[in-house]
Amino acid sequence: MTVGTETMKALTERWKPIVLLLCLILLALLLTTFKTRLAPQTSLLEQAALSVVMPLQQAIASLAHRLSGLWNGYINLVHVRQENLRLQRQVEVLQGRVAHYQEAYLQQQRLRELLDFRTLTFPQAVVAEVIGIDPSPWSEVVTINKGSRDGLRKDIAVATHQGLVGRTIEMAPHYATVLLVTDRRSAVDALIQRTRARGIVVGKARRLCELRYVDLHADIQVGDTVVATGLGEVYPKGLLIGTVAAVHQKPQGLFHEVEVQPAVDLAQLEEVLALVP
Amino acid sequence: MAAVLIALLVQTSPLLFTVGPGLRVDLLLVVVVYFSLFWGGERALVLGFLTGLCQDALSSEVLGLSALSKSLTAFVVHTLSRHVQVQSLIAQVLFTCVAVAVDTLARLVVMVVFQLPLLALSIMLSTFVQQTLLSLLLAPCVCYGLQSAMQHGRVRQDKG
Repeated sequence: MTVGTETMKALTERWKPIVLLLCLILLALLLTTFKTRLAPQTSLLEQAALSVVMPLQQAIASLAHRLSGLWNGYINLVHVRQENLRLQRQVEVLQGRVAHYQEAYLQQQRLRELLDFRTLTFPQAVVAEVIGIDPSPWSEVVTINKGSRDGLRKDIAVATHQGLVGRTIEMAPHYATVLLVTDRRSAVDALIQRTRARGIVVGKARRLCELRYVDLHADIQVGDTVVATGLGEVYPKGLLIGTVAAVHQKPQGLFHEVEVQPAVDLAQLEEVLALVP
Repeated sequence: MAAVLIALLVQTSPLLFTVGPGLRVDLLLVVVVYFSLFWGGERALVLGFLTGLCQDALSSEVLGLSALSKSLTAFVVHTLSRHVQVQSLIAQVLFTCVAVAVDTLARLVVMVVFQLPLLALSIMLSTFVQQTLLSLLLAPCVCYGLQSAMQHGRVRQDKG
């Protein structure tokens, strides 16, 4: 009897981890099924996690900015004088250009009114700070410190003065996650500004994108500007996405293979604009 | 759990942890590997599951993906380490390498089964290789830090 009990105990000890693993895998698969098939919207768990972790992250980001400001403003002052003189000269040149562009802008405004075009302005744009990144090494997603309470909602374009950054995908009351254009799940309807050849900019990871489904007969060159078409009403028409970095033409196949370098330096994102329509 | 929370904070910080173009290390995986080597099987499994779930909650990836991959990784690492001298740094580094492979493979299988968007194979392979190398570099520091913290905690507990 004792031997039998001991054998049973040994068997139980041996199989317990495997049974536990199978239960955990089943639970994980149930969560994945629930999330992908039944309820793809943001869950309470994700909102709660964002609301708990991001304040800490925001505090760390704020501290790091202050230390960086202290270093750059007071300690690292080598070559400041030469840089200052160079910048003063540059400012004088740019002031001349600004006056010229102002005149051109006023003329453009008048022409737009004449032709009854809508202007590319976003009076409701919300400035936000990047305070976190996705913990998964396979995602290109950042977290910003503005959420639904600040007027943001899902599928809003996010940009900087340099160009398109991405779109909001998940919302919490005070935070939102932004899918970058370089993420594999990102897709933006785009065109080559010079030749108006159409395609879809898809994220390729490693801070690169790919312009797919461009007709083989389309004229594309390295250096061409790629902009959003405005289809889908997420990304505003004319918003700069990037420039063509490489064009690969295969002898067979229907489409070009075009690499696009994003206009925005996504490694240096600090402040962004959520373009609330 | 404090180690998991600190690893999560470091991993989600944009200032501290971007090594190269779009490349980051899965620090949470390194922490899971450590506890899988030094804890009992069930505890390591539950820790792996909860760590993955926390990662999924903060990630844009589908919920349950990291929970599954990390609990499977914890199980594999714990099972393989039962007859190995885990105090050795080389063993810890080798198990980290195995863990990255198991984690990546598990995620890939789930993504294929659920028809989720995948990266191009060449990018996945190169990212996997670079992830492995970076994890191997970080693993000794993380394991040493955790070991010291655990020993310090035990000493304080004995004194208390």
